[in-house]
Amino acid sequence: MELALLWPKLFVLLLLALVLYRVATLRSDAAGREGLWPLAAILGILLARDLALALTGISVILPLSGLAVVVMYLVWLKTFTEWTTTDRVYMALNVLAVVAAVANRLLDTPVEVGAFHYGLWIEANVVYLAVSLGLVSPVTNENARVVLRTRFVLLSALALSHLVLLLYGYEAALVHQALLPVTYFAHGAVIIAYYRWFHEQERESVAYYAANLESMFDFMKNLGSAISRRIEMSEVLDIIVKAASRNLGADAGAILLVDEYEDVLRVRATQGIYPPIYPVPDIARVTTGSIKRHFAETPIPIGETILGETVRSAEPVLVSNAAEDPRISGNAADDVLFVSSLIAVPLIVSNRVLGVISTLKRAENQFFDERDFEHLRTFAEYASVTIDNIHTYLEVLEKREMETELDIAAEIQSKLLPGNAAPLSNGSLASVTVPAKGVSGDYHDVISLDGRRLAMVVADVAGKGIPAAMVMVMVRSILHLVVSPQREAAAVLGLVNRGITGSIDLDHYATMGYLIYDQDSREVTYANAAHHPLLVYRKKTSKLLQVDTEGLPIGIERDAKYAQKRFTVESGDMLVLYTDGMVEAMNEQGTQYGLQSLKEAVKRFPDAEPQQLVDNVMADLEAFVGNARRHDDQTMLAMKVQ
Amino acid sequence: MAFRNMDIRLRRAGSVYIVDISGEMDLYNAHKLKEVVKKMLEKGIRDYVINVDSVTYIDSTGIGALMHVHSTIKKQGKRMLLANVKGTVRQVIQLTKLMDYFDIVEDETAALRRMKAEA
Repeated sequence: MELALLWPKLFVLLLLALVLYRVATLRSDAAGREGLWPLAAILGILLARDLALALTGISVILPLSGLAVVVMYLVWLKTFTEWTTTDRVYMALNVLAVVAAVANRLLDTPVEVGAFHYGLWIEANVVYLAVSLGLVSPVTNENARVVLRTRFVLLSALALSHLVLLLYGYEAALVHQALLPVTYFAHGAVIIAYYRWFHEQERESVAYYAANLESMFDFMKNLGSAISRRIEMSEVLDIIVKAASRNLGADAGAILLVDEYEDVLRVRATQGIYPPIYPVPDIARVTTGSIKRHFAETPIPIGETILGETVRSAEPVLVSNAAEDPRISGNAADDVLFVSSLIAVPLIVSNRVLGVISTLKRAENQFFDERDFEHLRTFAEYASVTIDNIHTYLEVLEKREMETELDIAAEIQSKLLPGNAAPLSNGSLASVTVPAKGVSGDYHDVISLDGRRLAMVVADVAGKGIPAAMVMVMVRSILHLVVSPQREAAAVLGLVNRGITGSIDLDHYATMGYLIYDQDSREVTYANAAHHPLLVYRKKTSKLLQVDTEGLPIGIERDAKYAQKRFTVESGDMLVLYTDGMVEAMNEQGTQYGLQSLKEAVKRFPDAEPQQLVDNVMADLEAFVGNARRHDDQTMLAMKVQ
Repeated sequence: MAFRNMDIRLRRAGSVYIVDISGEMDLYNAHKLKEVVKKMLEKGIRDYVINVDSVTYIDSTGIGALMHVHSTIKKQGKRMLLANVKGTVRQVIQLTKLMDYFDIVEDETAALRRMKAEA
């Protein structure tokens, strides 16, 4: 064996090694990269063979290295497919054969093993490899492309070269000069095939991301035009689930959102027929319509079923083959609810899980892959932010509508407040009302009944906005209709209640205190419909009394009975009426002003005129509340007996 | 946000639904209770226990909402009990003279016992 022949061989091997290196560094995430190391190993075997042969000249190196190369190709093939028992038996046989060959060489055995035996054994190996290569199908193995493209040239080169060796032996010069280098090129063909394949992957991935972007833009455009018409959450969810299903080539899709009040998921949008991923009663399986309905109407507790688990764990899940996942294999085995593949991705905005978006494939042997999974994960991020934004927007819109309504109501309220009441001949009177922004619940009035008597009224309507303001208007109108010098206080409340009850919603009930003051006799009659008790300050004893009577609020029961109390007052005595907003006013610490504080404030100014008294009490209240927000109207009426 | 919060959670004890209200039942929030109960009535739920244990503040609108759901539930021949009426909620209901209007029970256990006894 001449050393001169070694150089061109080494040169070719070096070239192949460079190509292999280039291929290996082409794409770090290419599929099929694990097939590169057996190819590198083959280069190593060839190099070792040529060096050893040139230096030692031991001819058995040739068949042994030839066997090693064929075996390595099988290892390479096995990076695409599974090792089988047959493969293992075959490998064991090879080990035995090598041991036998070495033993034959070293020991003195009766049978001389020659080139012919080696050649036969290697050909047997080539046949085994050929059968294995033949079993690879693009249907069962999507990375088979590279195998399919190279198997013809590979097998031809291996079979032919070893056939020649079988026929002519390993010593012929022809073998060394022409035949062995041919096998290098077969190997080169495999490496080049990889190069092509990795390039294709690159192109596909670029095309995939371009399509991905395209579909995102498409989605944004649809969403944009939907929003410019009118924002409805259901419409937005529809667009999202449709876009997701289309992008993934899914047969069905669904969005489920976490319920506002319960720990359950509710189906909010579906595309195609998304069957329940749980056992369904027979009655609901009759038609596709009934299946859809059953799914749409059945809340899924968070943590239950694969969808509930996705929300609880906040982890996206890909079930490529439904039959292999016990959570949904029930569907894979069911004709009506059949599902072949599922993706479920949680919708998350700043660590809050809003719900889950899921897509399904529902055809035999159709599966989602990692790319589909990645696409839906990316898509879900956009979708979550969109859903959250729209939710916030709708909330703000609703609150703004409410505030506008409250402003209108406040306007109505301000028109109802009393003008200048007839001056008292035997007393003085003052009132104050501070409306809270947007709230309109308080009503107070002073009505002259005749020359000597006047009526004072304070009322508070529950609820808010225009409905509450309308109730206030009704109360005021009925009150003005029914008051008369002859009518007792309790009777007035009874009539107002009778007039209101039934024509208003229960939650707009009103509490009302009604007081008649007779200036001649200094007699006070008070009737109360569940309003705060009347406060009476007795000048003589410096005591503050509470006067209350029985009776339900106005507007609850038509035949409610009201009681009244009659008592006389003396010069210097003070009568005070007020509403919730005074005693329930809160400071920044959340403490209420309270009746006690109000009473103390009144007692602190025993000689004040009514106007001074209300001013002082209001100032005391303001000081207590500080910067806290006022959340209810505050009304106070005071009358002093001369 | 300037709006203070009220939270409603639903729990089940057999066929009885317990509506836990927490936070401030005021002008801005009370309507939520009406909406929830409306939806529950549409679903055919019969037995309600409104638990106001964690209500920290209630105003006349909140009382109005309680009255509204009480009367709507009663009108449909269904049952509602009000549980854990204490502190400020109790004061406001007393002041409004509505203690007899509602069916008030001590606590959840008492509510469930009564629901069972009257079933």
